[in-house]
Amino acid sequence: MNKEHSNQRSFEQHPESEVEISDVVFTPEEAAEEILENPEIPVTTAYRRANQWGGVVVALLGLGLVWGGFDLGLMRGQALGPGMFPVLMGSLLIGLGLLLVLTATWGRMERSGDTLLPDSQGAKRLLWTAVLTIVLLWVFPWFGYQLSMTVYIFGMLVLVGARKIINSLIIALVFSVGSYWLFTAALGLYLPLSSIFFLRAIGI
Amino acid sequence: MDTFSQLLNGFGAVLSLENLLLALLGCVLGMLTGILPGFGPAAAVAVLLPVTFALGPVPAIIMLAAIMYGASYGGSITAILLNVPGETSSVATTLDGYQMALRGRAGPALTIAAIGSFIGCVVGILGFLVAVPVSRFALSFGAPEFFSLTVLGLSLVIALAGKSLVKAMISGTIGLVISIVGLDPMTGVPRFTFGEAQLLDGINFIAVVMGIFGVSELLASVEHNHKFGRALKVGKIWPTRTDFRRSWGPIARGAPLGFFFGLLPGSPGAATSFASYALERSVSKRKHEFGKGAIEGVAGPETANNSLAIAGMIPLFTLGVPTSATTAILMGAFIINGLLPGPLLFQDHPDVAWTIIASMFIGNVILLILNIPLIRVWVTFLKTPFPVLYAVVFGFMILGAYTLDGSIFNVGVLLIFGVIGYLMRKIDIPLAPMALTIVLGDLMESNMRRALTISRGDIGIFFESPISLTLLIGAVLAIVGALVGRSLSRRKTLRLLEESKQAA
Repeated sequence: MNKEHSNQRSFEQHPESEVEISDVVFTPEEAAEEILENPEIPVTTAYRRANQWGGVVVALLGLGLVWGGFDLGLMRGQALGPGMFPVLMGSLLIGLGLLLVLTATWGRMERSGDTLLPDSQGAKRLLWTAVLTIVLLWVFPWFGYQLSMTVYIFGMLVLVGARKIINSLIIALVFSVGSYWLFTAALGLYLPLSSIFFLRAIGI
Repeated sequence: MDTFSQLLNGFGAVLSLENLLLALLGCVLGMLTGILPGFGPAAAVAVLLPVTFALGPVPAIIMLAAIMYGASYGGSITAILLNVPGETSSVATTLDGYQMALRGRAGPALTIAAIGSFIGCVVGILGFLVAVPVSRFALSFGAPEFFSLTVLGLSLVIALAGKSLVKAMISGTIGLVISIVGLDPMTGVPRFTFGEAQLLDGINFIAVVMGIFGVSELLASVEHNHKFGRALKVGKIWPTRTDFRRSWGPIARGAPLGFFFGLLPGSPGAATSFASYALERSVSKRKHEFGKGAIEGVAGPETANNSLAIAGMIPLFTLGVPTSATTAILMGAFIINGLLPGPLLFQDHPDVAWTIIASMFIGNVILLILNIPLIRVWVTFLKTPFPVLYAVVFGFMILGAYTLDGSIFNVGVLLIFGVIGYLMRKIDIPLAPMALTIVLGDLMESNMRRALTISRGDIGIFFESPISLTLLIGAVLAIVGALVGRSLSRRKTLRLLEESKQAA
């Protein structure tokens, strides 16, 4: 392993060091060396299966487009109709989806770190994010922007971020009220007030 | 009086205290607005237009132009720091700019973006000196030429393919499919709207891009404790000599590239910045660094998109033809203030025209001077505990999506595409091609159909025009070149790998 390569790895492990990644130049020889030194994340059966399902979804999307395209009509008199482009794109998607299925089944695949599944804590955070966001969309028309967003940000900080309650409440209030006034007063954009009359009466 | 002398007179007029303050105010307002997710230059100019009503015609246009490039830089800030592109032409900047921020190099990324933007602006303004004949060339682009240009743009998908060509093409095709939703541009027939009135205008591009890049990145960042608990690193603020050395080439190439695209009516900013990105990647000796924090991936696109923005004003000023939503709004501002952009502007009001042009240079100088010290402030923002950033950025994106048209529908689009982007990451389908083709899809289809209508179905129309033929040949060469290059490089790497294993 040459010095420049070790410097590059050192930077990636300790980005605050003085080593500069920009000094590293990879030739194909060094790329081959890096492959030996840094084995990629293994391509598991689960990963291949996920790709197969991805290919199936893409192909089905293509099928839907072709179906819809024929429904819209391929020609309008002498000119191309509104369905021609969807049929072309749908056909392309069907082909690409099937190719992905074949590649996932028999082909060579590579895998990046982004493909790793969340750990248990991560899954919990994602779940809370989903729940809070759905609740926000549901209550938004009723409680208006300020109240809904305060509850949302507070929930994100406490339930997802595990932050302290008082701090989270302050941040949530500052964000919601501050952004409301910025967008409505400064930028002249509309953000809804609550539908509940006594809240509306006090400007929330 | 010759052109250069008129430009100098324009500088003299713009260097009044009132005009300088208005340029400064416009830059600050534009930048602060551009930082908000969902707010690009067009939205910023539209929202802040009423602020200029009380001013005279020249001060109003000076301020609006400053808002425009201030917002453009604001969009770059969020693209680099948060992976949330503020506008279409900042999407390419997220690919490497955000990666630089993750590696503690947000300062150099923002600095190079500011310098590249400034140089792009200077090139754009110099273009005004040769404006008229160049603009007339741009108007010779018809339906066949625009279709061929989009095909060339799609060939960039190959250049951005990364590890899997099939997955890159899937991503690009999905982007084209998204652009189909809405009213058919030729016949007005609703397509794939499923009876939903909100979809008649199509799916909002800004909401989609915020979702697939911003939301998906945020979701990915909470998956593992080591990512969620991290404080983003803040390294050196100023670029190194190596950064400058590596950036001058992309800046020199990005400026004329952006200038050329800016002259074309309807030229999408995203396509221009991706074209610059693909160009830099293809000429770079450090291709492997692209997507992981290559400074060239910031310098080129940022220069190109600023050069595009200024060059886009040339057809507006010289021919009265707006080339984008932003310049169309500016045209409205001209008319509101009693000025009619076009050939007569330079004839009847040369002092007005050249003062505004000179103000663009001064405004960009102000922006550069303002931002270099502010980079420390922007980068310090990264020191905010990540859980707080997570909640606040999510809140801002939801707010930005809602204000696109005052409905919760776009918030739904944001979140749905956020989940789609997250799932695409899980099977390594790249997001960048989709962002490019969403913009190109409508342009591609409408010009294809228009050209075939003109030619009564004869596809020879795409080959009869020298410009169209050249663009198509360029697209084929780009695709073949990229495929051959990847194949040769892969074979050589595998051969060396085999030799290394045998030697071991």
